[in-house]
Amino acid sequence: MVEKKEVLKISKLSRLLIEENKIDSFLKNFSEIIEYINLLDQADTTEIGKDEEIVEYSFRDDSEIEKLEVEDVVKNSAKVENNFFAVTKVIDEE
Amino acid sequence: MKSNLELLTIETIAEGFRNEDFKPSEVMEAFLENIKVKSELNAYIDTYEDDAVSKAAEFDKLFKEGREDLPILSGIPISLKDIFLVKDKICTCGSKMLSNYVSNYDSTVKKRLDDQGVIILGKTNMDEFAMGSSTETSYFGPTLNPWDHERVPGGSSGGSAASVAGRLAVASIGTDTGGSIRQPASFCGIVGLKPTYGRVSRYGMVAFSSSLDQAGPLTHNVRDSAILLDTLSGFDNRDTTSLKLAPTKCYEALKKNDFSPSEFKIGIPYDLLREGLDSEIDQSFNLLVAQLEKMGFKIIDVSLPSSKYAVAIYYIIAPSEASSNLSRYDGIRYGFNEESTPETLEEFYVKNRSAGFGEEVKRRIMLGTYALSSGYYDAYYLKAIKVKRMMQKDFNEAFKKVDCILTPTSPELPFKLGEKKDNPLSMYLSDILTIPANLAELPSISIPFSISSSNLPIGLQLTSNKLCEDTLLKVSSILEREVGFKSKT
Repeated sequence: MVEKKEVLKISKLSRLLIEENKIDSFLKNFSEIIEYINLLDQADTTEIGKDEEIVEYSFRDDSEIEKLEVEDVVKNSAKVENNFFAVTKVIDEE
Repeated sequence: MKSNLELLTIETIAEGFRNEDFKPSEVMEAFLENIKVKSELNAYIDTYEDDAVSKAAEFDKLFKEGREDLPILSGIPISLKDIFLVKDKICTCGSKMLSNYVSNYDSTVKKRLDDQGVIILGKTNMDEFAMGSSTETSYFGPTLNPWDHERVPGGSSGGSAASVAGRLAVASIGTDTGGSIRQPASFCGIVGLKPTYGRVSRYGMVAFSSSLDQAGPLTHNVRDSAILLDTLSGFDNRDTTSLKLAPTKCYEALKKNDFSPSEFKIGIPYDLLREGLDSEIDQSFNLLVAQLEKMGFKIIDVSLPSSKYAVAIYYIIAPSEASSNLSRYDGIRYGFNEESTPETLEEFYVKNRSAGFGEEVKRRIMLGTYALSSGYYDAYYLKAIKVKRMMQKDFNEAFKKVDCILTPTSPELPFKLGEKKDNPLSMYLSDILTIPANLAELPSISIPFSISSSNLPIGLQLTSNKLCEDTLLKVSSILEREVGFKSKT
């Protein structure tokens, strides 16, 4: 069973708020899922190495292939000043 | 020949255009009319009626001129899951978070369809951020199953599947992270193909779980799937996971029709099918296997012992990747913004993310955050990666003996709307037969093969080794011809 304080910690890390009246049902579903996932404890993985997986990524040359206009880039933002994204102040004056 | 144009496939419509049996604008009109008549299905989030009508008129002219260089997809009306960016159009991904998001550029999938003359009818409904198996988590309301309006069309590409089965598009392009093309195809009685991981570029496709997501077609038949796979596949330098391979040539291979059942070995993983199957699905599946053996296919038992962990592995890996991918939705550069003036930036993030995401998306972000958080990473994420590798080894062994692995696509028939609403785990378990192919990066297809006593479609799933889409589609085309059923409508 996952504890309520753990869920609250995870919600903070995720930058998500769970409404007070929904915490209990959330906790119930969350715990059931985690319990199911614990099925993996039964799998014997001693033969499997950590870094066996080789992922082949294809990288392209670091050259411009397409250009977006600044006006287009900022058009989906709710708050724009002089073509910059405007955000709440993050540095205290003190 | 002007009635029921919407009943045709890509191949037959293309032929009709060339024989001047009907014009692109007539076909377009039939589909647009059908979209209006069947609006209660809620298959589309957005339609591009004006663009579609004017493009169809352009193709009328080209066909009238007798142009012989037009690609087979010219003038064919196709729908796109609302996860692919189309320049200057809204892309919602089924979420309030992106309900006003206007795309700045075209996805590669959209571009490649454009290059072949496809006319995009609009964007189809989906589970929010592709997280779901019923299309009920969409911010825009659920899509109904065209076979039975009280039932779900499957998900997450439920709008795409309903648009094809309901004859609101000739075909559709969806995405599949744990079964999101194949399960809705099965629930709606059509064909759905998930190609090998990396076959189709994901540039301009909203990310959910980057090690699993793959785009593919939903169609009326296997040949149409081959045409679309050939169109969408091929290297794209805008996607780092794109495989450096030329486009497939599956359609030509199918047209040759020079293959027969005796060439192929089909594996049945009975250890995966021992429990949890709907009794009617189980029965019709066993009949199917007997039928295939009679037809000359070699049927071989294969063992995939680690696949029983597939759902558990998936619900660690997919949410972990989602928690990272969805951290970009901060409400600043784009996405839902509550227009409040919070004191701190953190408060701003929390407000927008909490109001912009639905319940299932929040649950998955938090599951992922949990699995990746300090103290749990080794126990969950690393363990899941290791078991995933065990599963891949099982498949490698199986493909030494067989060409394809056969199972039902879904352990259950299309369920009723709301039936699993309060039980996310039971929703997750409905993908138990489709998830293994995503974890092992394999191509996999769902084909309709039977109808239940309650008049609902049942799909079979074939999975082949990596990059063996040609074999997969050959076997599929035989099965479709011999044991498939004709579409409902």
